[in-house]
Amino acid sequence: MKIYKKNLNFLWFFISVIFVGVAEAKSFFIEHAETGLIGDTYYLDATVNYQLSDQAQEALLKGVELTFELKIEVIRKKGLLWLFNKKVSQSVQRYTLKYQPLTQQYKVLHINSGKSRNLPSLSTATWILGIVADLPLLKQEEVNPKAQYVVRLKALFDIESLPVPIRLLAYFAPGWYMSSDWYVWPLEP
Amino acid sequence: MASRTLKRYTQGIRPIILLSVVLLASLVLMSEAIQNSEQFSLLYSWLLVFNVFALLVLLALIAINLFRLVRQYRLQAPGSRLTARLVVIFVSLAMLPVMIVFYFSLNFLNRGIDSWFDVHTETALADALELTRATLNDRKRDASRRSERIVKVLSGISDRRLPLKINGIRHNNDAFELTVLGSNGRIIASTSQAVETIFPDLPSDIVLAQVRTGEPYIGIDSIEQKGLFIRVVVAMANPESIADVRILQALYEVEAQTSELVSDVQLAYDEYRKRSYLRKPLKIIFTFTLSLVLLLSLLTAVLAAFLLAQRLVAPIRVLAIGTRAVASGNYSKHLPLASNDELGFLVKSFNDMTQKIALTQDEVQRSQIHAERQRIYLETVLGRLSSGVLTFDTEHTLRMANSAANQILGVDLVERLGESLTMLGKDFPHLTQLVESILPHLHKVDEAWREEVTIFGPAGRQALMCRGSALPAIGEDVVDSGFVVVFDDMTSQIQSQRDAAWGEVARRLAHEIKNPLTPIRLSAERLRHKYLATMDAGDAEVLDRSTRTIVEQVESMQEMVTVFSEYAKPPKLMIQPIDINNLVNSVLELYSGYKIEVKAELAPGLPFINADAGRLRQVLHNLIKNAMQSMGGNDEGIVVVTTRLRNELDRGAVEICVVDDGAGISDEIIEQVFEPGVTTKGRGSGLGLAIVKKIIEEHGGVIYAKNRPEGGASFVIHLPVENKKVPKRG
Ligand SMILES: Nc1ncnc2c1ncn2[C@@H]1O[C@H](COP(=O)(O)OP(=O)(O)OP(=O)(O)O)[C@@H](O)[C@H]1O
Ligand SMILES: [Mg+2]
Repeated sequence: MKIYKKNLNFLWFFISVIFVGVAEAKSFFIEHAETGLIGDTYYLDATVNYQLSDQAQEALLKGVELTFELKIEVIRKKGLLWLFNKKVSQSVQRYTLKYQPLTQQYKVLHINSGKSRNLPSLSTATWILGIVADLPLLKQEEVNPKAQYVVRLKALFDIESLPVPIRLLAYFAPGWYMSSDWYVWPLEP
Repeated sequence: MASRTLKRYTQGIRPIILLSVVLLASLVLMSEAIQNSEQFSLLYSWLLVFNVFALLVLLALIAINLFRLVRQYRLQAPGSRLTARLVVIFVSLAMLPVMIVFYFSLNFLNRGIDSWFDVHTETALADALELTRATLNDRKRDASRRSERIVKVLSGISDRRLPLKINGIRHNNDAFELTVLGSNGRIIASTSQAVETIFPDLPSDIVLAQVRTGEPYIGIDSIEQKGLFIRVVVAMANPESIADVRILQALYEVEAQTSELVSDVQLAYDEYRKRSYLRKPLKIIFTFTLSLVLLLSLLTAVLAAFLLAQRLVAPIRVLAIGTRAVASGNYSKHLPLASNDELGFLVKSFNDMTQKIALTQDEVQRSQIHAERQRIYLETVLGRLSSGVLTFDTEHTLRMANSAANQILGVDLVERLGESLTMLGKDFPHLTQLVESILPHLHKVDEAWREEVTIFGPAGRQALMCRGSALPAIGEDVVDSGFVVVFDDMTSQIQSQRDAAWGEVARRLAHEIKNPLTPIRLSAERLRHKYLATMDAGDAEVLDRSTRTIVEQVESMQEMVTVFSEYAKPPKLMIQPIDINNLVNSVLELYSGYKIEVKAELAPGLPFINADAGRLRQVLHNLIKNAMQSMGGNDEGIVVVTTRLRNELDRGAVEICVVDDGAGISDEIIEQVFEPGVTTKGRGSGLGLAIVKKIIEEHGGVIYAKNRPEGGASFVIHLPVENKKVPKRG
């Protein structure tokens, strides 16, 4: 499921490039990310800046639930070439953002943990959405102390989770292609 | 191989059905997905990709078929026109209803979606939301008031006593949960209506941060598994320290019924707004899906039209190809039987027809061969015929001549086929007589004729008996009509007829002469007897001499008559198997006392022949006598009789040769030695060889005479061996 979704995004990226001629808008960016070893586990702390496009904001206010993905990969470097690199761990953190008209609050839900927060404004909601604190990444025993590892992080908006009717339009609208670049840093204790 | 597989996949009707089913399934799934059914929602993109791909595949298949059709049309391949027409008809038949349905569907779709939304519902929902909000605000105000009271009560209670008092305070103010936090966020005291609660539900950092600035927080939060709550968070003074601030959080339960209503209203409003926001995209996606469905169905129909048309036309094309093959003379073409319908029947009839034609063709060929065989047979028969046969067409051109004709006429007529009769007469002068005799008859169509013609050819004078008649025309064909002339060489037959006539003459003559001879002789003897003694010597001598001469002459005359009558005697052969060598030996014994040597050279092991031994003896005597006479008194001469087997001859024969070294046969008579009365001897009758020839011919043999180059004559007899298996001696 995860894999084909990834591939589909890739496919739609190409389709958008071909049909719309617009590259992915870099609306998200990762402000800071670091790893730390606490006990025998590596934890991730990161801050992601989510800037929603006008289309996304409008849809949110009209009751559409938005889904975001945070892709985290730990890669073992084996040589100069990327070819020999090996993914040691790979995880996707999924979040949803939803507007609640009654209380006029924004609900942020971390799907992986099931924890949710209600926030009074969009800016606080996206701020809270962007804070990743103490996310367990991998166990120390999985890391070979002699090898070199890098961690990379990418935040992106999941078009596939949109309701079907807008999805078709979203494929062809650059405003819906929201993602960050890969943020790469060495794995440090 | 690959192209065959490709052909099977692009031409068969089964792949089309399969494709249609798959497309239909994917379209059904797609429509499910649009209706927001969760499990299909994720499939939508895949289905979209699949359907677009299918669209492209269909387009490619149609393009291939179209290209093929156009090419065949250009090449004027059989059936291509009909296929094109059928495709156009099918496509237009499919196109029209589909377009109409499409138009109306779009209309219904747009109006249907629009009809889901109306202003009244929207305002009603908004009002409901507003109402709910107002209700909740009421509750909030109430909660705020109660919280103020609680704060007042609490502000007089020190941290230490707080845990003891707080439960009562909560009870008095009808709060669900009360929590007092220190400025550092530490819990000072907490109480809850739900006894099982160990940890209170704490406000978030953001709320705390807000409260610390002095602004109280009043919000509606839904707490998991507990329901909807009004959360009030306020800062309050610490009685023990002015600098320190305590924070109170009070949770007030919104009663279940209200909470349910609130969530219902919220859900409905939320859903309605979302729907109305999605209205336009929904229309677009419905239109898009409908168009996709339409396009797919249409393209499938077009492809099906191509395949169906090809299928329908296939037997017709096959028939056309077959007809061309038959037209170009190929009757062995067997068309594959395509179906069981009328077209299949047509193909079957066509096959039957070609088969019959092929049979007839065979028949014709066979009868041709038969005719050819007949011709060869006729030629062989004619070739074996001893009579000459010539045929002429109506223009008197020579059409056929058999080998006997060539032999009799001494001309190679086969080389002259196609020449006219008059031309032949000019080319070969010895045939002029024949041509002149035949020509008049070749103008009379319905009359058989017969005529004797004498020609002087290389073989001498020849008497030909010609018979002829017109050939009837076979059917309408004039070329076959003409004339046939049959002729026999009658030379030898006429000869034997003449011989027979001579025999008759001799017989009569002998008879007539014989009668008076005896009285003459008797009279002469009586005269002599009566008057010889009474006469004087002179007269007596005359008388004596005269009567003696008469008697002698009469005697010789009687002898001659005997021979004559011998010649004319009707044959009474005493046929029996004889050994010819024995016969020769017994004859030669009689000549052993002569001065002239008569010698035998006999081949051993000759077969028996059927013959009259006495007659053959007579033959040998005659020949030996002639040979001896040809020496003319010379005693040194020698006569040799040889026998041998001549198997190489037509029927197998025994050859008897009588060879002498006498004067040879004189040139004047060599042609007629065997004719009666031909002689060079003063007292010879000239019948000896005639009798010999007659006897030999009675035995079915032949005899001929020739002069030997070294001098003398040679007579050769061939006697046929009836049965070569006659026991041989030794
Ligand atoms: N062996 C021979 N050699 C030369 N001439 C021959 C010989 N046999 C026959 N002839 C010629 O053929 C003629 C005919 O012969 P043929 O026997 O018929 O009659 P003939 O001998 O003359 O009379 P006849 O036989 O009655 O005494 C002879 O007169 C002779 O001239
Ligand atoms: Mg003789």
